[in-house]
Amino acid sequence: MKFPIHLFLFLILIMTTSGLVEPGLICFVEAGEEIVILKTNQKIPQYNLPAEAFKKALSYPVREFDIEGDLSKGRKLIEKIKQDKPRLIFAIGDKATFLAKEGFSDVPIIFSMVLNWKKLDLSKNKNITGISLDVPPESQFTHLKLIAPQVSRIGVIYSPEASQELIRRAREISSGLGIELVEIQVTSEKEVKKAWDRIKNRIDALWMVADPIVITRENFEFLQKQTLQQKIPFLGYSESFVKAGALLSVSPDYETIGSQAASITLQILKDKQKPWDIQVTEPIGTVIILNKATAKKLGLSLPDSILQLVNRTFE
Amino acid sequence: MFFRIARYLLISFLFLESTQALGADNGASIFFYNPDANLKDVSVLKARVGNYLKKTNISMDFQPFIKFEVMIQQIEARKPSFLIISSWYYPILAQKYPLTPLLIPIKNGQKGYKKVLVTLEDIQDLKELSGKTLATTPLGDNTPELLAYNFFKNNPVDISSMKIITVPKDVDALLAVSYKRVNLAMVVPNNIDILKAINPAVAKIKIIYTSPEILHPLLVVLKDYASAEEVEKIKSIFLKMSESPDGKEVLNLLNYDGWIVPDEEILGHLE
Repeated sequence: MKFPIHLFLFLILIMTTSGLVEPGLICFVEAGEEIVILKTNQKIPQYNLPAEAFKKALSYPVREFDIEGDLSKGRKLIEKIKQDKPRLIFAIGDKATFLAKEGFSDVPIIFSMVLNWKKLDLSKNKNITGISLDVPPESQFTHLKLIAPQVSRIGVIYSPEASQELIRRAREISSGLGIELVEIQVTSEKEVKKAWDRIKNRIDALWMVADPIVITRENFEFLQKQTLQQKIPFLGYSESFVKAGALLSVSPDYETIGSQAASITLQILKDKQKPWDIQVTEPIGTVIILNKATAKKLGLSLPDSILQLVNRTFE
Repeated sequence: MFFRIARYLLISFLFLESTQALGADNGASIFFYNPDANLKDVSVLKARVGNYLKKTNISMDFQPFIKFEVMIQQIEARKPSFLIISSWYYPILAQKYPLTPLLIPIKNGQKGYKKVLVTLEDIQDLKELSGKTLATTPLGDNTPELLAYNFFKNNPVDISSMKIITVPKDVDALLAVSYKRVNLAMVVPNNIDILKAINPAVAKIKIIYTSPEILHPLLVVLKDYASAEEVEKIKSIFLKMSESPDGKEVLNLLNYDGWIVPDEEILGHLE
């Protein structure tokens, strides 16, 4: 007899909402049927957001594991997970991704929340794809132009070693947005102040990229002060910069990352695509943080239609 | 069949969560749940509305929610007098609670809005949406089902075959479709106009479907938890919201121009 789908779903609902089963673990699961969520550390709230969105978007059985930031504990967990023969692993964070990559060569892995994912060196891993943390430049520039429409020349100080690919992408899309990208290359953090002197009169906004060679506390404070003095909007990449005085940040929305991972899961499990054929994708959802005090100092008028786009403001 | 299952699931969920009896003490609160609003940080909305209500000399707590299930739990626990809820949740909640719609907000004279389906691809028929990836703002905990029921009503769209990616705001969905990261986006048409003035890539997308009109969120009373006097007071405060600077601030934050009493057509639409 065929088991009615609505009864099945209803039973799942009862069990997951009434506390009969552990969160993330749904019964009626045979070995080899589960999707595994592997978290680097669930005490870090940011890691839970993609996991929740992922589970919400999928009707597959899901089981969660937390390595608690501990690689040796994680390796033991990996051995346990291997026995269950999961269908797919959604790895959240650097350590979870590292262990999943190390432990599985034939199970599809979707990575997320990995800083600098290119360091993973996926060239030999045909079972891995994922979602990066790099908000695409077109999204960053479009949001900047929504807040500061007068911007047409965006300056960027970067090191080719860390940011060449990102800058190439930014160069490609900037002309389509009516933006001139004014680039200055540096090879050490000590060159940043001189780079600013060379760039400051040629730009009407400064874009800070997540470049470890450029960004130090001292350099950020210097650039933040200088841009404010020159009334130049400063586009950062995380909330902490905006809190410290940058005009705006455009960062990835972690729930959307979970939703994207669910979509990739369907590509793999339902559409039978190979992970290797699915390019590592960029996050499409963004969180916009605005410093209203800085906007005021820059003389920007912010209509309500624009403020609607902003997720959080600092006064 | 699909819609029946979706509806069944939602209603089942609500009844499953409710274990306490109605009645008891009055929470004197207004609960707010609108997943289509871009609210990551509800504290600003809570503070602004709270400030407005305080200035109108009414002792009423305002509590926005990001998650539907949390609001349901809190309805049971705190028994609020009023709710502001997405119109698509009204018929679901009305099956469980004795609700009466009091007011509906308007924007540019409109009591609702439409969404459009946009793409860069050559799609001639909605049947071709099968297997495609769609970016949209969330409609709630069951976005695909709610999307099918509200936005593709009476149309041959098999949502279960599609991949739905929920994003915080229309701009994200529009950029994703314009740069080919998804096949489709469901957005409010006005947001296309705002964005294409800034980013020409957005101008290349085309509209392939327009949804039926979706009503704005409704202010409703939970009849068992509010007195007639409270109802009249809240109605009066909301109807006058556009007349004070504090009220205008709240309306701006919610992106509305004011509130009106729903007419027969609106009430009929809700049924």
